[in-house]
Amino acid sequence: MVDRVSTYWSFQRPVNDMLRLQANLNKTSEQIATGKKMLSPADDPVGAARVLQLDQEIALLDQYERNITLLDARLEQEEGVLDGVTDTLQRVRELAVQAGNAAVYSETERVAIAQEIKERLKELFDLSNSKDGSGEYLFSGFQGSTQTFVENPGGGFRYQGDEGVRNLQVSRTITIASGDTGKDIFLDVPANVPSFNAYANTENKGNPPGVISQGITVNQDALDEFYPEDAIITFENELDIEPPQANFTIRQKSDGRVVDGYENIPFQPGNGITFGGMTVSIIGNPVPGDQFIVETSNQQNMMTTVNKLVFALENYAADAEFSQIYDEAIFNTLENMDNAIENVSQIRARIGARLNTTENTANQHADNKLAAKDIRADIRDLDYAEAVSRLQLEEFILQATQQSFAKTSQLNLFDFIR
Amino acid sequence: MSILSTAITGIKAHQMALKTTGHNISNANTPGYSRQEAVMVSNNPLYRGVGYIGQGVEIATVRRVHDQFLTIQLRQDTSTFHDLQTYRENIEQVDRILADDKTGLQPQLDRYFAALQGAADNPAYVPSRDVVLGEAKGLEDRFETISRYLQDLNETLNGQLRTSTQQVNAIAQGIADLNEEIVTARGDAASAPPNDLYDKRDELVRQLSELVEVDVVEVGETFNIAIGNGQPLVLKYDANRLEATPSLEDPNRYGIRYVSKVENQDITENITGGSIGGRLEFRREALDLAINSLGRLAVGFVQETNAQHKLGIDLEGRFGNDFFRDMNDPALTRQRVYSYGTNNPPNDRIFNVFFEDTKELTTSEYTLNLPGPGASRYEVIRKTDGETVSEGALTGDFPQELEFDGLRVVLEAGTFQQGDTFTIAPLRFAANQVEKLIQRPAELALAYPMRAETSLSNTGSGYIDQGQMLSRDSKAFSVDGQLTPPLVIKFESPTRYSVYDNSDPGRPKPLEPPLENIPFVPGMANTVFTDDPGETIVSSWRARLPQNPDISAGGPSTSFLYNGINPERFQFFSTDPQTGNETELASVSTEYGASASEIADKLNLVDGVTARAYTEVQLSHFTNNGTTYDPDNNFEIWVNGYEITQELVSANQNIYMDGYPEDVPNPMEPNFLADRINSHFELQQLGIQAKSDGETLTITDENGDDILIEMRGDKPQPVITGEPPLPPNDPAFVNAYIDPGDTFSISTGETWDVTPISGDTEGLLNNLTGYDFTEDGPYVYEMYLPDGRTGSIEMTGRHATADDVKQEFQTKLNQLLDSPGFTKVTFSPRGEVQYQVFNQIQGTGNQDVARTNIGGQVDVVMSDGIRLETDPEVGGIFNGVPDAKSSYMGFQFDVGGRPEAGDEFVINWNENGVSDNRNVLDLVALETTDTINNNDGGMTFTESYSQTVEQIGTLTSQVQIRSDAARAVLEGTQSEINEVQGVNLDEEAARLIEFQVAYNANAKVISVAQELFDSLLAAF
Repeated sequence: MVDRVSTYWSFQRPVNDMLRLQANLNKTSEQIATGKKMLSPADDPVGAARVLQLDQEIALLDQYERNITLLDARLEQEEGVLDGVTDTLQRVRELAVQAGNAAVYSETERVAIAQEIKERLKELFDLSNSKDGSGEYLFSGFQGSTQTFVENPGGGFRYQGDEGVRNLQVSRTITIASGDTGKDIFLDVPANVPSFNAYANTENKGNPPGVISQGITVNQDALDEFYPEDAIITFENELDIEPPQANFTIRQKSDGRVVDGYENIPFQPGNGITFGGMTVSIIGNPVPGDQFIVETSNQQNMMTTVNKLVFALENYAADAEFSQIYDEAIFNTLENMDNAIENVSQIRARIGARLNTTENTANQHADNKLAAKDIRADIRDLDYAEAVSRLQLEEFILQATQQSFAKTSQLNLFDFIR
Repeated sequence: MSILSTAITGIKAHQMALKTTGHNISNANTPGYSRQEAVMVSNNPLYRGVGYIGQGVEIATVRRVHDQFLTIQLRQDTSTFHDLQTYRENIEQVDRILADDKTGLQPQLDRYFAALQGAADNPAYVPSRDVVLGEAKGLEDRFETISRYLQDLNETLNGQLRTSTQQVNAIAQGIADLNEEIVTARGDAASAPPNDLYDKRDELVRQLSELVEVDVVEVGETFNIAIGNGQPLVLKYDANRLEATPSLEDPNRYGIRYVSKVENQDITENITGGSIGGRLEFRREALDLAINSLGRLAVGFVQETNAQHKLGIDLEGRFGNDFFRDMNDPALTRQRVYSYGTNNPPNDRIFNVFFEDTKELTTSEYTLNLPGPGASRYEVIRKTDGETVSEGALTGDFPQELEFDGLRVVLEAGTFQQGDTFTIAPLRFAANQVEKLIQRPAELALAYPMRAETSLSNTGSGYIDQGQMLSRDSKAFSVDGQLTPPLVIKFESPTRYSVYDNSDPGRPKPLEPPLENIPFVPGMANTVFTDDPGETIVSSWRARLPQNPDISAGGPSTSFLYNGINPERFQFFSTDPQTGNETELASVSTEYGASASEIADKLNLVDGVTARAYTEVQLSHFTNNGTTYDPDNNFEIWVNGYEITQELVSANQNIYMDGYPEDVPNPMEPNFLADRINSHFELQQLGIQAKSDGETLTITDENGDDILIEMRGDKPQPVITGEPPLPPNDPAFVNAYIDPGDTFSISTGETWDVTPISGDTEGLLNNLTGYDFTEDGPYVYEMYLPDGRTGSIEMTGRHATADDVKQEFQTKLNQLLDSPGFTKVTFSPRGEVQYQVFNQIQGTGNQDVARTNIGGQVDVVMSDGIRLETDPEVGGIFNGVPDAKSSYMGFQFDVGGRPEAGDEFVINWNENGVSDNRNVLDLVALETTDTINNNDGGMTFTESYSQTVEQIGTLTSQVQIRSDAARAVLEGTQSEINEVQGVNLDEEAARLIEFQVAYNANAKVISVAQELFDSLLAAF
């Protein structure tokens, strides 16, 4: 302890002290005002970095929760549409059962049944072309601005979408499909008996382009035998036959074998071409090298199934000579309708599973977010009790310093020298 | 001496003492003032008989109460404190701006990625795309704001350095002046010390210490002051100067130069302490770190985002452009190198600095030196750790590229000379250069360019995913808006698939290079296509057909049968991606007659090489009706030693599977043979399959083993009625010609286009009618020949039938062949011409056998950097330096499940794929992917930014603690020095009284003396 203090310093030191105390007090009150104990990263560098990461984590979790909300909305909308599809299918099935009781119903009643089925088909067609809130087709895959199903000029329904499914991220690692494609729902329905699709090669050069009809099965046994082979109808050089004219050859797709008797057949636009139990027709003006592809499939578009029922009702029902074909058609329709209903319910189950996952994930997110916020609060947020008591202490010390300064500064020898 | 004069000395002395006290009182608050005290000594006494009589008092000197040690201590403490305090004031600004909600980067990064997620939810919805653009712009602004702030800080530092050096100069001049004044005042050593001048000078030195740390050497009465590395700032009466000017290695940063009459040198590196030292240290340690970390983040973010964005397609189906301005934009790459001011003229060197791999970037800057001799060598030193990251020879050929730490520095031109030094600061302005380029919402490329579809006619349960986009840098994407070509994945069997060009879906074509006969593991996800951008495939020729069928009398020979494959030596070379040097990787030799599968097995042992072998042979033109002999013998064909033409009577046969064709047709036809082979147990086990289009039988071996075809004449002798035809010159082989009517042709299945060079047949070549080549000619065609040459023919005839046309083609093609065999020409429906080469196999008699053995072909898949050469140049199936073609598609797909033979998956351009969000999901994934600093384990954008915040925060926290400590130390020293030197007014007041009293007493003595004198006078 020194025994002398300079007057300058005896004033300066309390000033320094008071400045320091005021700075502390200021910091504490800023902490209280902002509720944060970290006012700048320097207060806790590691904690600050961690807070930034937690901020991102929380922002991500918020985003995942928003995604889940959107996903749920989409899936519920799809679920609604599929509910409608199921109802329609059920109704068509009932009508098919009624139509099967050929003896019970009169001609007019059958016409009425056919009429209703047509209405239901329209309904199904509309449902398959459902749109979402922003006007995109629900079931067109990646091609939201492309109508999902269109009616073929040659009859039947063509799927214009693709197999793309939009996935949404619901957590760091989980993405969930926000829908299903028309192919999954309407097209990929197991058929009781093989059926087929026909389409033109996109590289065809004919003008006007040749168009192939969807075709009908005329002999199921023959088709069963032909299945799973596919066929390609190729237009050959017009000079290959005498007299020269448009002609085609049908070959098996797998090995190029000519289908029996179908080599260099003169082409008559619109005439039925029947092979392997299938009849298709081609119109337009195909040129040599143009190809039409007929693919057999063990799956059948549910709308085609309904269409076929209508065809049977309108063409075979009245006539006794077709009764066997008619019965067969009704039988196949019922089987296919069951498959269609089964397919839709499987997809609905899938949606249910997704909704389950989102719910679980959302719960998990809520927990994780809470934990992240807790940790962030621990690192960043102020303990008010501690801060307030600290504030009081600091206030007290400052006051004491001020008071003692006031006291000591008044002590001056000159006051006493008169 | 009289009593009077003694008293007068007392009066005088105390007057002086009172003056000194007064001086102390008036300087009570003068900075640097040391209190003074008048030192009184008694005068020498005079001897008077009785003893020494005192002679009063005198002021020996005015003493400055001063502690040299504390003064030096104070200087050091001042210097240290101002150093840390300045550092702290600056870094606290950086610290605050980085983490603040309103100025920091992180909240905006979060918002940007949230906007992308919104777009992923609804990619076709324009408002959600608008939000992405808005937040991207916001991100650009954030980068710019922070970066601008940091740049401004640098500018401010430059200005402050200039002001500070001016202050230093003023103070130095003041000290020099005081030196002179003090010496003058002091005169000689005996005279009194000029206390106040000392104080003034000490105070100036202390003020100097606030600015910079100095060394003070006292020489006599003068202070010599040294700075930096010992440069004299003040030498006796002269002051030298400091100047702040753009520094040597970097014009954007001011350095400190020492300027004297004889010297002018940069001493930035040597300056420590004081506010100047603090500023330099802040710039070196914290500001550069902040700028470069932020720059690295900006570069990583922009380049990664761009790379991903360009993989996608936008709402209009076009490939994405740069989302943000490319950091390798030519306008930017030039600005990243600074030439030292000391470099030899001319100053004409041009550099470009590119970011090659943003994951490798460090936050350091680099120094490029040319240590000599001459301009022959260079070295690049990483500034943060002094490590040499690149060194080598300067070739003098421009451009020369140096690659290190994810950078590519290109020396474009200029005169490089020994001693030249350059600063490479690639990240300095990067954050400022973040600039969003996409303007229209539709231009955001959120979709993938390709998609996959499953054929409706598939019978298996195989499925394909929607693929993963890897790169647009492949020939599949050479045309915007379409896949070149569209692809079809075709399963030949449940375990093998091939990929074909599907541009014409009815007629798939092999790809260049072929992707055929690839193994597939059912039941799990198989990745189709390579992820190696440098992968190439070399596809061999098919083995040439042997010269002639081997005819062995009396049954099948077991001897080795040549398969058309000659010995060949394979040399693989591999290129080191770092150095570009090529070394031999492996050398493999294959033997005469080795099968394709044996060759493949050997090649598969080489690292980075995968070989696939498969064999194909075609049989056609079956004739069995040309014979005049009776009875006609059976047409008997064996494949790999198994007969496939036998009549089976037993229902319990175990050679064929159920449903095999039982009746052997006559004449023979290929459908029957194909069906027999496909239901033959043993052949199926061997992986042999067949198909027939009704004319041609194609037999394939998926393992690439040789296919041995035998035709056996199995007719008992003698049966011949009529005259047997004899061989022309060799009666010994009479048996070989017993039934010349049974024949078929054999071919490797390779078909070559015959391409018209001149003359247009307008698609009129057909399978029925003829053509007149004499009109509108000449009709010239070009074609590849089986041995790899190119041939050319001219058609000249006038033909009535299609057969005649084909005949002319075939005759002219036959002449071009260098091997036995003959050609067959076919016309496509559009009148295009192809040819194929055949050998004929003739039936023989009795137990005799006509055999031919066909070797396969090999596809060699080589990883990036591997090259193949083969010997000899001709005659092998590879021949010299085969043409290696890239098999990289730029995308991959997973095919899983259990596809069946004939199943197909189609890969197309993603036409109208407006609702596709695959690319935006990839963009979103960047948020959580390690994209920065992969050398240290990798960081996400957020982690990188928070690391910067943490580093700056730590530095700040450290300097706060240190400056608090320095302040305490400084205050301690100040307190101590004040205790010694400071004026205490109470003390002075007491002194005042004391001296006044003494003065009064002395006056009293005078008065006493006067009284004595008066009383003496009065006595008279």
